[in-house]
Amino acid sequence: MSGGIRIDPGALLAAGKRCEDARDALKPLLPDFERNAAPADGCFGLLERGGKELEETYQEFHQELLGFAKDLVAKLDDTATGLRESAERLGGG
Amino acid sequence: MSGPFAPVVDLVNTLKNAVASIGDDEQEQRLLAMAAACRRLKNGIEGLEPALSPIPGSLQGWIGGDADVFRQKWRGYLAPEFRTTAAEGLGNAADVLDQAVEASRKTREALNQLITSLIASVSAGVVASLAAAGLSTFAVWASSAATAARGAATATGILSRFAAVRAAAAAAVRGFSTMMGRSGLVRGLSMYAGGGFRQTALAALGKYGQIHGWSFGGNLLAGGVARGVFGQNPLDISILSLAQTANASTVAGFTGPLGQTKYFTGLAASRPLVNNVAMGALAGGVPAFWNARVEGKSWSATLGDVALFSGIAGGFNGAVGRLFNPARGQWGVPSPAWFKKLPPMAQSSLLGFAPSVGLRLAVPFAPSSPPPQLDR
Repeated sequence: MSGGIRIDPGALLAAGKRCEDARDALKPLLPDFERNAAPADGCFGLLERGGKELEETYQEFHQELLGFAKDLVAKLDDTATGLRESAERLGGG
Repeated sequence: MSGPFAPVVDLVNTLKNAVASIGDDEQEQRLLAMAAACRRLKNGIEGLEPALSPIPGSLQGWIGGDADVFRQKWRGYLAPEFRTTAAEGLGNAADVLDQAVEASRKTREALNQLITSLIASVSAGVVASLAAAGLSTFAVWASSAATAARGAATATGILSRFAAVRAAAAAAVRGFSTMMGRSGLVRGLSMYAGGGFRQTALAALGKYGQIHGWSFGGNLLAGGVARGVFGQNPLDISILSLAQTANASTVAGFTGPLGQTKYFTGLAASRPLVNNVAMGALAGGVPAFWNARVEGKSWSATLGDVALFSGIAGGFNGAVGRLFNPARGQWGVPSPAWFKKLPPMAQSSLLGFAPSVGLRLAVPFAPSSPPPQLDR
């Protein structure tokens, strides 16, 4: 047994690079979603009396999905960093 | 312009401005933009899969502490199911928004046409309303004859347009309800809580039915009381009077969405009395117009009914509005807490009950009229 090293550090670096690519692809979409998918005041106004209520729950949905997407960017970044550090440890060991 | 006619000019302008504000499609553009932004994020999230899905496979031979930590995090945070759920929620939200645009557009068209058509005849009623609300002198009342004559010229086109408008709006609302109820959307749009946005959308649509129900019940009851006064059996409800009641409640329901438009909510905040009179005149005058046509009354009798109904309803609405929401310096009573908690249509039904009975007494519906002859 060779101390658990059964993988080329290059594979870890490649996986990390994929995470970074995904992060870079997703990140620029966030300001667009935050700005353009947000409900405008009274935008459900012509849907009878529940319009205000509908607007509020859509607002929650929007916040939730925005939170999810931001979190996903952070997790991808975090994972890329972790993979690079693991690769360095493997390469150094 | 000042003098006794100033409030009349004011109200006709109010209706015209309301039409203008309905014509602007800012809200619908926004809903479409929101739907498009939801789809862009959906596509973006789905586009991550080619980069991310090969990762766990490419690291299969990796073992040790770091590998365990990696796998645990991947399962916990980056498994594809999370992204699939989010993308699905975004797609569903975009579909609902598109449907909301469609329903909103149909409502807007219906209201726009309806109000444009009825400005002339309602303005006759509004004149009477102002007199009834004690805002002006009898000189204003006298002028209603001239306005009614102008209304008669446009009336033939009104009826056919009105019927088409009712059908179009009802179809749009039905479509939206069906769409919302379809199994694909029955799943919650919210990722975590379930329900959420979709649940509320359904609840909002349910209110259409609620409004119709309250309005129908109130009208039915008022009709029964009035029939009793005239020595008819209050419970002997002919098909015609049922049809009239249904018409009255359907049509009165149309003024609900109108009251939610930016123009009227602004007016309600700044000039509650004018708003109350206008809404009351619309709610009272429009069903009166339709019912008089169902009864086959002459055009002059129709316009007389419209003026009377909208006059009494508008005046009463104005008076009650002032009573329960007094402006500074006006006499009024604060509405009790239990009343504020009732649904809006229950409030209207309670407040409108007495004047509805009064209207039936003043202009009795005729249970023995011949079958309706609808104009084309």
